[in-house]
Amino acid sequence: MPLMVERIEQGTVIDRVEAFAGIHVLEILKLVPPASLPAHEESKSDKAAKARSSTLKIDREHRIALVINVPSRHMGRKDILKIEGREIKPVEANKIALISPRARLNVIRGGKVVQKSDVKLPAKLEDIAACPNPSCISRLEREASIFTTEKGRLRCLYCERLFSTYELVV
Amino acid sequence: MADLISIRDLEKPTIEKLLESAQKMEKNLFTSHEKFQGKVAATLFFEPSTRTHLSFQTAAQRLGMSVVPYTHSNSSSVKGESLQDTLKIVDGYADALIIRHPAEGSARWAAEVCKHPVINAGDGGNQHPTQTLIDLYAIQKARGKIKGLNVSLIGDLAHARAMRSLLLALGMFGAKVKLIAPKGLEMSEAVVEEAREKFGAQIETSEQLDLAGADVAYVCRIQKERFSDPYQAAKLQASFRIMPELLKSAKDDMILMHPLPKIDEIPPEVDASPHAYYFQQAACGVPVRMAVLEYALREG
Repeated sequence: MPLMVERIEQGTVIDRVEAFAGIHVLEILKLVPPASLPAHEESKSDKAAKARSSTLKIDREHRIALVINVPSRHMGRKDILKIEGREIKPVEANKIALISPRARLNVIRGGKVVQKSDVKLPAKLEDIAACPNPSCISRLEREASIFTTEKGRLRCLYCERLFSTYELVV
Repeated sequence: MADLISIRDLEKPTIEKLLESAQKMEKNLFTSHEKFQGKVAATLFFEPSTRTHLSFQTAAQRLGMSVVPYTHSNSSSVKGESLQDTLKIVDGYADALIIRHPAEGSARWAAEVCKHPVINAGDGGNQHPTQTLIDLYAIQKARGKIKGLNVSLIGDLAHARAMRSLLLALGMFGAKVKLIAPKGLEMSEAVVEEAREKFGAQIETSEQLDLAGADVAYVCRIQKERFSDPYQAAKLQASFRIMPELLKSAKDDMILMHPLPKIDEIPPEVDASPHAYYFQQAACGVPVRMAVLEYALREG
């Protein structure tokens, strides 16, 4: 039985997301709060969580469909995201290459795909992931680190250690 | 003004200029340097240090600068002051900040916080760029060149930060490097790969302690504190000692280097050997760090 999700008129569909990575893609795009924060409205009663959520500038304005672990001809299994009312810019979407390097961005206008692009790991990734090295200064003094990419791997600007994309704490 | 944070930030021509400048500094060690009069260097050492701290202080004083030493145990840090606040305050007093801190990347982060130049004097297990410059300078001084020399890096190559940056620098300068480490204490594969890819470095590896054919043997200690089994550490150290008998297999003009402090990997009787070069190497710390201060404080 196929899984039906309504089509969107205006916004973005992110296809070919690695299976079960969809929720993390939403975190990276700041469309949901990080898993460490309560996502529901009750979080407003938690002052610290509210303040942190506000600092992180989470965009809570859009309807989102997340389809998890559906069959894919190319990938075996994949996740799909549909974001109504917001066009994700390729530069912004490139950050998701960290956890979903095969993802494809489809910009939708008037119910039609007007632009397609594959994500590409950017040369520099800023403030989306903490450095996995517990001795790194960024773990003490910053919320997240800055990484430069080297042949598909990531070097922390501060401790200079090299990590695979999957080692990063997103 | 320029920060000096990591050997990875330095291009070969910059390093060559620094080495040339160090040579001039060594020739004019007792000459007054007017342009540095009235300048203040702050040394912020959050970890113990003998050679690095003293040689930076000496270098600054030889240049005619004043030195403001920050002592962690007597500072407001013990009252809970943040590192950022400490840095900003010292930045308001001094013309250059020399920092050693246990957190990796601390010097780069300090450079973001401070408006005056920051010099990395060791950031945890990451970098110790001025030690690398001293090593290059000392090799060049003893052998007249670096390119084409057979350099063996010996000991606990997994944990010694000085060895990682030195491998990159030797690769950059065209030395042939042999990495000799006990099993389990080998140099990070990522650094070896980086030296090969960036500089086409010729690198071979071995678990066997052997000095034959080496022009330079650079030894570092086995870091016993990293071992859960002290007997295993002691056993490895015993198998990686530079004993006088071993030196008989070395080339006559081979130099034996060590970042110091040496513990028992080089016994005291080796100090009298013509190969022993580590004390001269340590003395190079002053002119090289004078050149580093000049680089950091240069106009434009």
